[in-house]
Amino acid sequence: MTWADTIGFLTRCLPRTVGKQLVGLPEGSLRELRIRAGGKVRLLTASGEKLCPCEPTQQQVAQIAEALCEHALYARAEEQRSGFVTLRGGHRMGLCGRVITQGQSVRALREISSICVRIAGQWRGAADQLTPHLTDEQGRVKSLLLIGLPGMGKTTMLRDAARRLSEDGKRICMIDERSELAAMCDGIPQLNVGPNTDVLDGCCKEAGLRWMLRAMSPEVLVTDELGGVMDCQAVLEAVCGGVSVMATLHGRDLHSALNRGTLYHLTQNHAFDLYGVLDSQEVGKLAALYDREMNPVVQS
Amino acid sequence: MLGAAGALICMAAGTALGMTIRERRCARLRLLEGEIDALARLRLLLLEERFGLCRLMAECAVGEEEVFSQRLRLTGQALEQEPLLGLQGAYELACRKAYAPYEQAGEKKVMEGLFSQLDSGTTAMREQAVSSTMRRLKPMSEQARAKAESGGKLCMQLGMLLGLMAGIALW
Repeated sequence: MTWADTIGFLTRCLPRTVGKQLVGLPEGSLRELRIRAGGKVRLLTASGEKLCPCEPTQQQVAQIAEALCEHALYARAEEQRSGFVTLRGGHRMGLCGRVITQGQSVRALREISSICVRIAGQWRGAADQLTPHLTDEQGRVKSLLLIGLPGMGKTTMLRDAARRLSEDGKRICMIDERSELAAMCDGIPQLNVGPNTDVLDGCCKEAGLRWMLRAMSPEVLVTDELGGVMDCQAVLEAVCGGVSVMATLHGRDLHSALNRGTLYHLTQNHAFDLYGVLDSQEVGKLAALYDREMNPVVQS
Repeated sequence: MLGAAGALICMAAGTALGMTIRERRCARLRLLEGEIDALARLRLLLLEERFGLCRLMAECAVGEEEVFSQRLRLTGQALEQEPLLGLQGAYELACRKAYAPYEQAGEKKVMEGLFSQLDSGTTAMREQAVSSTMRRLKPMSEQARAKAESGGKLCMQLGMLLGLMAGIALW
């Protein structure tokens, strides 16, 4: 999806006053869009925050959410329950409103009152710092875990690393649970993931990793945001089966991220050859790279 | 001679009038049947697929000529061009474009009610709205069928007879 496509899509779905401001933005400068009921619409751009003279009501916010989601919010209840929905083009729409719970679990979201749209970026060269370290002497791709805070560019870096390897002829299999890595639309990735990449769209990581392993004989499996025990179990199975895995994980630094119970088996079994930690201040900057023994390879 | 021709013209006009009424009733029946068929498909797609409403409308618009299919297609297109219009707004716009003079107020109201309900809520709630609309449309369709089959034929015969009588009287 090009910048013009993205702006065209957003403009159609947003009130006219906001659309006019979007059209005037320099290419690639929009980072985030925040809409709150009763508040001014905020555009977070590369040059700072801009306020739009538009204060939507709660009903209008809900209508905008439906429009952004191409009126398919009803069919994406599962995603809604996790708090966000991926839009066409791989952009992420976070939602707030009145949550209906059942016991400890979230059943549904009603009366949507706030939306935060994070614009997916295709940044060629995002993985430049990583690339020299991704393969060993025999040309085998090393397993990599990218750690960083939300919004610091983990997914962008992972996508670019996958694209580079794919262009080098490696067979890449991507499990894109939230459609953020490749942003598939009618079977075609909207973001460049390389010519030798197969994408399993919308499938949960656990089932997807096993699926790709069985079906597509991958050299590298790529997936976003490891979380549950079952995800880690599937990663471990793939690594033990001789396939490299590249994934991301939310965390501020290496130790706090890996000290989670769910990741215990992965670290104990040296599932990853490399751990990349992203800078918590500067978007898209690699702060440090560690080897499987957690010794620094690169440190800025 | 003129009297005989006048009688024939009156008979033909009466028959044509009867046929028009019959055709109107048949068109209403086709519209209702088309609506029920499309709703059955809509219900299935709601449950089985994860389509957005624009795609859902396009997938349900199967027949090229049918009025309701045209309306669904136009609704999907309007919603795609103006997402903030809402489904009900898009359907009303489509109804104005694909106008059916034989559609009765009761049927129109039922369908508008459905499109306002399809605009929000969970899959189960929307599926329920479609099911209840189908239930409400079925007796209307049966009534329309009875009218089209028996009443339609009668209208044509009456038209022919009245035309003949008027022609003879004028002669």
